Amino acid sequence: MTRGLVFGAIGVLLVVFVAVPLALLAMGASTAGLTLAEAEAVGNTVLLALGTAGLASAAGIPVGWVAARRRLPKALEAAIVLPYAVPPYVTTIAWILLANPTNGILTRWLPVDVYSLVGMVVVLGLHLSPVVAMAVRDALGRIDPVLEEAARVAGGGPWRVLGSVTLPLALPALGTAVSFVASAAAASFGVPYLLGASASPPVPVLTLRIYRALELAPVEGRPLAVGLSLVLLAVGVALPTGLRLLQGQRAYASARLARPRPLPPAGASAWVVYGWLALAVGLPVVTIALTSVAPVFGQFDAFTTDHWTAVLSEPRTRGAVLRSAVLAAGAATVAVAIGALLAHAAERTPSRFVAALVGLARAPWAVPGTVLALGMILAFSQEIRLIVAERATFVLALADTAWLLGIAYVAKSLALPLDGVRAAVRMVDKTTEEAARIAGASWLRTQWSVVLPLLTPALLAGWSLVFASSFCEVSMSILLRGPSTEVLGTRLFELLSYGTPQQAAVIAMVVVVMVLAAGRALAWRARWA
Amino acid sequence: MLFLLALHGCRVELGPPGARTDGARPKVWIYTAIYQDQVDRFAAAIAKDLPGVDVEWFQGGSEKVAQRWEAEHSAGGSPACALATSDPSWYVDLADRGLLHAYVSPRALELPSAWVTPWYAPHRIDLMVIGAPKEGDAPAGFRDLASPAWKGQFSSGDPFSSGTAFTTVSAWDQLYGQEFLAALDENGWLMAGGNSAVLGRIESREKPFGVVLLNNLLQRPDATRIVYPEDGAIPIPGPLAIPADCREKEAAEEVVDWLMGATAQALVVQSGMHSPFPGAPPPPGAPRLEDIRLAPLPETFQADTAHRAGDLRARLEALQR
Repeated sequence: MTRGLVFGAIGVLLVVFVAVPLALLAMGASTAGLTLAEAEAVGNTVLLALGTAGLASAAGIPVGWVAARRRLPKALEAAIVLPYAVPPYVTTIAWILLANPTNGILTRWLPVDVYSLVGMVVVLGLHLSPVVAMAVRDALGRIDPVLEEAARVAGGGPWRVLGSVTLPLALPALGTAVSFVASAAAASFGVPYLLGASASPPVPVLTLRIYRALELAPVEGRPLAVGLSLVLLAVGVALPTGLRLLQGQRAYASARLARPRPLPPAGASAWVVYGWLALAVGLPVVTIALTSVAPVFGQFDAFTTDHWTAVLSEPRTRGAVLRSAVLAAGAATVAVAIGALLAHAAERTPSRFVAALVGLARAPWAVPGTVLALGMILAFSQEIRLIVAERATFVLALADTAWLLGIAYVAKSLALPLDGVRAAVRMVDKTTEEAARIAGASWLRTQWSVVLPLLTPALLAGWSLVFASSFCEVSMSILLRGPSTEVLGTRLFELLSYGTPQQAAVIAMVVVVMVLAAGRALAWRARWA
Repeated sequence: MLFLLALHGCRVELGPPGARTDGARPKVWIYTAIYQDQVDRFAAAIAKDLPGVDVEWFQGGSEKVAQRWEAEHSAGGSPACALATSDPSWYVDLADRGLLHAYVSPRALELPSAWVTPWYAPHRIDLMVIGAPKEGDAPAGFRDLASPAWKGQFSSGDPFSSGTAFTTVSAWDQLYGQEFLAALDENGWLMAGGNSAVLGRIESREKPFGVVLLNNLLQRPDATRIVYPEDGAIPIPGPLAIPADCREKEAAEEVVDWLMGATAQALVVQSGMHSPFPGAPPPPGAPRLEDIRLAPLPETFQADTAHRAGDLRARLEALQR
């Protein structure tokens, strides 16, 4: 009964806030006006997605292994999410300063032209590598080390154990994370906008074509933009499906309930994490920090604190930080709750209804934020009025409220906890839950007392990813915010567009500090749990 | 979540449907592309001068405002009762589609007749000029950008996504023809981002010369130099219009009159833009509009730009390949 009510409510929410906006958009979709450029854009999008997934895996797997198997300083653990948390729009501006072919600070030492498909893969791969690192860390954290010890006792060398025991056990989580990165790269906009559009010749990808279709011709361009979004959705679905097929159906229940053993000190392997952080976040963040105190953009021969004073003394900035923190935390909590329930149901009690809900929950991730926001406007810009007996009217008025922003954040990022937790559930032996039910525990009690503790690392990882992506979300917020709902993303965009890049860099530094603080708080929560 | 939504996102109105429950003051939403700090100044002044009207603002880039308004219009109607952005082509299109309320503010009659239509008139003018580093030589005009002396050293906004950049390219196309666009492309023309991105490239010296709005350059007097092109700066009027589906047209007309009036025009100038009214003082750091050489564009330029947009975009796309 309780279960039915819970999933009924989730179904209503997903239909109202995901299916209706996407359906309203899809009704006007058209592929008329498709040119060769769009075909080229599809090819580039697939290359970008696969390249990014490859690089994020190459960087994220070793980092995740070290984080799971070695004792790292707490600050370093909290910093793992940072490359994902810094808005890619800002990181990319830092990379342009560092590596543009004309006068980039590091250009002479770097073999890569940042204005190219390879440049886009590098920047996006580093940005998304925490998704893989955290998935591997959490998956390995759930694997009983006894299995690896047994393999070593049986004569397996370290690489043999890694290849034939550890990685296969972590495969469900790794496969999910990699396919997730691929679809995130396909749907990314900021990096292609700043790097691909400036390449010579430009490197078109689907999100750029969608953006261009909408920006200059909001009426005639919308059907094409929505049509291209559907193509993007297909790419976003096809890539993970292909990767899952490659991975096969192998999944091993290996989660432990025993108290974790003390980890050996990190020693030299900590340098894997330090090196990755230096490249993925150190270089760009130091550049952003220097930019925030540079009197003239891109010239670091003098320093000033004027930009910090101007931005932080502005009440609007403080309001936006607070509003974004509350919205991001709320969105993360709701998305994790819904995502976890769906993930568990999809693995334990699969049905067509659950599969439909999972499909709905995953769809917005592969749709560009601007397009999703347009769907939200189509669905909710008008008050929805239910008149009762000509005497009373129930009004749903979401336009310009913080609610609509929060709903959009949840809808857009539901796939993050859903996929992560689903991979974790696959690793938990379901006899544990069955034992609880046989012992008389209700469905709710079983979820709370048995499933939740086992899934805590995946839930916390999902929470921090949703928080990080919502805290400074730009593309949806620009269209959905009202006069009194300014958020950090719109403030960042405003400063980048109308202020100075130095002031925008101050906002980026605020984001870095806030996400680090959230990471520390989560680490504390995890230890407490 | 459903409970919280029900609590905060919903309300109950008692009485016959459609009865007004929010007091007597008409509400006028202004959708604008002027910068947020300028909106704050306008909002404070209009609240003082028009206490009988409840004015709300939505601020965004011109293209975002258009996207939002069009989506709301498709959904059944936008709350916007005044549109004030900087993409004139959109207003031509709206007027062609019969979506604007015909209203000419009495003050608009003082404007040059070429700028006034029955549906919209500019309440501010921005100019596309050339930005350059403080020291050294710089191109003297737009035509110079095709010279080998400036090869690979200049950029403009992306005409595929920035309305002001598109208007500029359309002006070049009308004045100098497709050959000029091809020559610019041969000379390493980078078209990417908006005006702020162009300004960033000038300041960082990545592309030391840029085709950019005067308003942006006036905000960075310490870092950049303004070159008023010898072949004429390109005027980008900021039209002001009332959508036909506005439910508070009388109040909207009051607001439009106010935006055309002396107080608002003084704020326009303070904000770094030119007032379109003859004899108006210039923004700080710029000459009077009458003293700046403007590109000799025909009166039909804005309409031509709107009607030939598809063709020009196709030619630009072919150039980029």
